[in-house]
Amino acid sequence: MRALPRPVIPALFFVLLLVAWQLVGQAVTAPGAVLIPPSTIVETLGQRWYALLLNAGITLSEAGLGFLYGSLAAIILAVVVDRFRIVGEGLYRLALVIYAIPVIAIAAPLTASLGLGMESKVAVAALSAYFPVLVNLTGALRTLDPRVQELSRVLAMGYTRTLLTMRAPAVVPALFSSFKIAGPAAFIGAIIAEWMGAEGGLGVMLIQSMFNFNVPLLWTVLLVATGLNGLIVLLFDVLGRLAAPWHDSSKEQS
Amino acid sequence: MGAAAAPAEARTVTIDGVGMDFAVKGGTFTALDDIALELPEGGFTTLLGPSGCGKSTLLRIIADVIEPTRGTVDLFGMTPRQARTSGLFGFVFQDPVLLPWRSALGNVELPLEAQGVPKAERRERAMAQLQLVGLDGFEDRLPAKLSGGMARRVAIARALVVEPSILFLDEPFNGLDELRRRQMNVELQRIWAASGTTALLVTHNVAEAVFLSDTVIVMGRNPGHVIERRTIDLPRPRDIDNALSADFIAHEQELTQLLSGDYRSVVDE
Repeated sequence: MRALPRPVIPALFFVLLLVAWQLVGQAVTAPGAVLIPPSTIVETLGQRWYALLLNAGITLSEAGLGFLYGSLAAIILAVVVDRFRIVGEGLYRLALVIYAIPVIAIAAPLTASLGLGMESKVAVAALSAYFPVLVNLTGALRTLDPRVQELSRVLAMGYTRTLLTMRAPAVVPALFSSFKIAGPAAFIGAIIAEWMGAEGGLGVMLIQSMFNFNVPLLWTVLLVATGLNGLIVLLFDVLGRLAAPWHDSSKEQS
Repeated sequence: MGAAAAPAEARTVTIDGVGMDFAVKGGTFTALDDIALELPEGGFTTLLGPSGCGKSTLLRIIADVIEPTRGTVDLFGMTPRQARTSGLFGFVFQDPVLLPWRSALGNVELPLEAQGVPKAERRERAMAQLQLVGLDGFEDRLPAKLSGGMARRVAIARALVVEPSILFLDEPFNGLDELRRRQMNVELQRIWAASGTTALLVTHNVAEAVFLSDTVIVMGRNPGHVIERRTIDLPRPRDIDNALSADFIAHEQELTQLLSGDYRSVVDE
């Protein structure tokens, strides 16, 4: 007998898990049941799709803007750390300290000072996103091939030209790996900020369905949020491959 | 030899009293001591020596990659820094060090970009250089899709594309098998002759040194110093068969003896 093709086994496992979930969910139907079967979730999805879409759109735009600001700040900071070692070290430490504050703790004062509008969510998302980008990029710039530095010296290339033509392209793969962490971080940051009070968004839906004991909706929002998070990772994975095709092909070779 | 006797515009590379100390735990390590050399223009000179004799360090000092602790280097009347920033250098490293996201052509164009050469001219000169190293038709390949020998040819083309006054070769065929190395030596001789540039090679391979050089500088260790300067007067162009001639083998044997003399003196200590 021939071995099953690779993707079949995890897919099979996944289907079995769904079936088991459905069966257990149906069996335990007492009021306040913890496990909502997939069929109920699909049903809720069908009924509430418009509200889900609307709120997902709100959260995604908050997360998107926050991601943009956060990673932009991180990229600038990484270059400053690289260019001006002494000033950079101090800034890097400060960035570390800021990151050490739990998101949930900083979300409250930010909401208090920035209000219930979009700004506070974008700020929390940005704070969640900047750190993975900063750490990855600083590390990638620091560990760059010393032979490449020698080449740039022999060619008498200045700092900026070396950065743009030789170093920036080299760190593109590391940058996109960091985006795969920063993207979901921004998304989660936005949801947490919405808990603190907001006019809309998946976080608000979560809180409301929790207080209304609407467990099926709670699970549905959870699933939608998980799915979107996965899509964000997938998006940056694909973009990373497109941005640095040479990186992929060189890995295949060796 | 009085300095005044030489014409003022002497187009040579002169190294005088060069020494290099590195700080190590509990003192300093002298990598090079009192090196004095003269490289004639248009000649092929090789620094030959065992690992740790400072030959690569000396090359890097002349190429202004590092600064010597003592002594002076004069390149055609310029300091190494002036020569480097004027774009007079071509440098081939131990590994090709190609940018993996750039095609062969893009890699060869890189030094011209640094010099601000316009795009059309860049393309033309890089293509001509790739042709010279025998890589026409491969210009669009990424480095990952080039063989080891091809990648080294690209590295040589990149070094020569600026039409350098001096070509530095730091063990450029390191890691190639012996047969491929010999083939690349024949190629390098042809390319160098066509370019007419002054070349300085670092190697520990005796046959390579004899095959390529007009002059071989034999170096020894502890601290790095010049043992002997030897002229290789074999006719050019040389081919692989010449490596079997009596003259070639005689040069090879004498150089090997000089090197093993240094090896013994180190072992005896």
